[in-house]
Amino acid sequence: MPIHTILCPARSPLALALVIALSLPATLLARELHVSALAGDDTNDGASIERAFATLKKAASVVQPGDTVLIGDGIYTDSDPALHFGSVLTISTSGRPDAWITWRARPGHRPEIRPDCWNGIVVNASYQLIEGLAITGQNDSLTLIDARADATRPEGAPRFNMNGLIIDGRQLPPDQKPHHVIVRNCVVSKCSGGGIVALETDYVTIEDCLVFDNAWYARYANSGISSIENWAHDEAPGYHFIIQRNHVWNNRSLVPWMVTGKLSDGNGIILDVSDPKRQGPTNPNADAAVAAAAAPVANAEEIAPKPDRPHWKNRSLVANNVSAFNGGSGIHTFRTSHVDIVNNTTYHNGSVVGYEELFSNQCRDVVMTHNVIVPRPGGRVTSNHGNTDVHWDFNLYPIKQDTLAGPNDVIADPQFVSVRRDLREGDFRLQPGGPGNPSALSPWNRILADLPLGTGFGALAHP
Amino acid sequence: MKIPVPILLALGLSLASLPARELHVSALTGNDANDGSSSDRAFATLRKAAEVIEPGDTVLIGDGVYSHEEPGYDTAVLHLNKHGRPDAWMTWKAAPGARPEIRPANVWHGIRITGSYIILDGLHVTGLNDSLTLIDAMTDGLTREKDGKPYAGNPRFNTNGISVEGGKNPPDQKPHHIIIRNCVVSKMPGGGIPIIQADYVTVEDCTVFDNAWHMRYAGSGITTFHNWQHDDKPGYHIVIQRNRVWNNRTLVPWVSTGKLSDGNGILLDVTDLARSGASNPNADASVSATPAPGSGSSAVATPSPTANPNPAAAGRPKWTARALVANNLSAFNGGSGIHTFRTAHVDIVNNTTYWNGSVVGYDELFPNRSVDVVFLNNIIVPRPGGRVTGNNQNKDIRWDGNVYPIEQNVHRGPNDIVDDPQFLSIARDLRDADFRLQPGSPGRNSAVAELPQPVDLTGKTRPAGSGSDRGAFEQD
Repeated sequence: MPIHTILCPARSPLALALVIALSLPATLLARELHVSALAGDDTNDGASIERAFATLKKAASVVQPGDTVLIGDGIYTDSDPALHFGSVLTISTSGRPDAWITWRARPGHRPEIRPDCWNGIVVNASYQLIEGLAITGQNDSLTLIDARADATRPEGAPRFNMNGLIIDGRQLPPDQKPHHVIVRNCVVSKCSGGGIVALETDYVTIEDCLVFDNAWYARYANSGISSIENWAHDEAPGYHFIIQRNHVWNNRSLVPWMVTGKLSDGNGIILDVSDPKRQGPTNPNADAAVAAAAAPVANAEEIAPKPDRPHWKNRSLVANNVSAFNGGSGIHTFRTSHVDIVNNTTYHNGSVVGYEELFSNQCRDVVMTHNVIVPRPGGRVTSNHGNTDVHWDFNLYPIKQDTLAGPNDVIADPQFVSVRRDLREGDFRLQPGGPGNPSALSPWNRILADLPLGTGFGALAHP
Repeated sequence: MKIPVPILLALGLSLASLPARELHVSALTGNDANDGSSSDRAFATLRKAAEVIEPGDTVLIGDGVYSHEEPGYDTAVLHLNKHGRPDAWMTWKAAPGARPEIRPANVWHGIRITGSYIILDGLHVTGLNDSLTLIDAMTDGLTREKDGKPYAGNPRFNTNGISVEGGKNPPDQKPHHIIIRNCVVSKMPGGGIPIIQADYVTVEDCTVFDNAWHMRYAGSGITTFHNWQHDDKPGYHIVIQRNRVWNNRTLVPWVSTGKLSDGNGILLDVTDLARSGASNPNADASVSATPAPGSGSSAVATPSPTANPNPAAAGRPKWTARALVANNLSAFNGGSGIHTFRTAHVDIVNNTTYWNGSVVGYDELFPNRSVDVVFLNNIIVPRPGGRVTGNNQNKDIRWDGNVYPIEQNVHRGPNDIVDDPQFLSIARDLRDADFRLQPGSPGRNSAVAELPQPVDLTGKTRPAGSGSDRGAFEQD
């Protein structure tokens, strides 16, 4: 496959696009590239399973718009400290609207990325689809006492602050922030820092993922799934951020946040600071969450003064997720605008920092409907602090509260089929005949198919 | 059954010679104005039964939640301070078919035992961990003074499950002959089952999990501390066997060192007589255990053991008796699976430990500054990066017949096996796990003959098959 050797020197996505546009029609360029940690070799050309590369980094160095990288079984731990603080895979070649780049497990395979550096996967580019990958951090081999000791040092060690997958626009100029990235059907667990993080990005979809046991040891107050300081690519209608159908659990922060010296966040899902002000109040409940906290920041002096983020006018959807047993909120929005939080199920969150299950704080235009919300004993369903334009209705929760209440709320035990701390073993569907079951409710609640938005309660249809 | 008043009077007058009574308690249907003599005339509170119990009596506890809260009262839901006799123990057990649950909230202990000849059987003690937050516990745990006075912490964040506590008893009246059996102790902010200044204590067939998360006193799942020897008779004086112990861990720094410490599954702590001594080199750990003011024992309560010498602790006899730790499954604890610290004369046999040490990094089986400790026929699987065992200033360690998956040379025996023990099914909630051994496991039929255990964790007779198995479970 000689073409990649021709294009290889073209490092900049712009230059690449130029070369491609000048040379060949896009349809001819789509290739399959193969990677195998078990049988590959980086001196291969990657063109077939038999000629697979050994490392993801090699694939990243030759991938072109339209390509699909098929990743075989094996454990991928290769890291390069020179690449964005170190990652197993850094994706810096953008696709195009008509030629996305796909990173996908080979059919029947379950490749696992095990980083020993700052990040599992870093996405610094656009039009990327990442599908079916497992990213597993090192929490099992760390100790809390070491993590707390590390957090008192001026510079944190990556092993205590490692993110699973980060889409990161912070180092990129305003016209090159990452956009159009889909993370689908991935399993991100046991990372000492954040699970899946989107920073200064737009058009990001995170769906059908399992995100658990992350954020325990970092000094950056991480969470399971975070979007932080969204950077608008355009103002086209429709959802720009979609976080849906994920199972998110036991993400929690056990090390104080370096900014406040206190425990903070560890949410299942957080939409953090779309508000463009550079400074603002921090979380009153635990001094939480002024952005940038979600990932390690390089030496501050190396970063040039940043241009202002465009005013965020776009909309986000958080739907059909199950978020349970996290240390912070099930779903938290902080200084963020234009979010629809619909058909989620949250359970027993807030055990570390006491945040509410669905917690909007200093936000504007947030819609919360058709959620099933079960706080832990002593926990709270929701909160309303400094918000404007919050719409709340058709939510189901077991304890009376009137912080936010809608005329169609149902106060009842939702009657889950089976509650377990490991969501892979639990069954958070609603029992037949329960209050969230359509047969027991008015016509608006008839579930016609699994989980259409705005119908039924919670994330999962009844059995 | 109704007992005429004259008979009750007679019972009161000639207790010693009369047959034991049954006393009934029901949180659901009882009334403390009843006489407790039948389930229809049950008391409502455990405390009422504790007032009237006599040696030989059995208290049958019915379904319900027991958590009496009295303003200003911060010691325990149930305090057992009476002494039975060798021929007349006092038993507290679940009524047949019942599942009574003790839920201490703002007190230092669920059950506090300062008497002797007492059996607890089949009781659930469940703490508040689900409704606490770590951030609140850290704030409370780091507060050393309030209103200019030393502050020992809010009992809400430091509640122990079942405490045997001799700290305030005179030297000749320390608690002894206590059996804690078939109990489930979970979600305690403090220690699960701490045993302090006591002798002849058995903890068996208990389930002890999710404890010690929120306390400032470095608690563990099951702890003995400062054993106070009752006599010199041979045989085991302390028995900890057939328990399942998991996810006990400390998340709040220990008040004595300002660092995380302990959170072991099982800890035998300080039988040596030094008034103070080195603390754990791994994390400045140990010198345990329970909290303070309301608990009545300044020795165990005082954050620094040297800061406030306790007269009742003076003259502790030298510990020459023996302890047995056998057939336990101890996993996913923040400290060691089984830890001995400045402790002598312990047999640690046929236990299974798995993936302990995630908070403080202690070794799975961790003797430290201990004397005469025997490790036989255990199965030991450290977490990734963890260690099988450690050896810091121990004397007279005997180690053999243990199975572990990674090579190590800290302690070695000629009959050790370095191999995967091949468990059937691992889960972080031990009620969902099955730590028995697969067919072909090297732990099967290969136990060394020394210190044979008659049964396994489930009560199954050993040996089954051509030889006894290593670890906590006997396989066919």
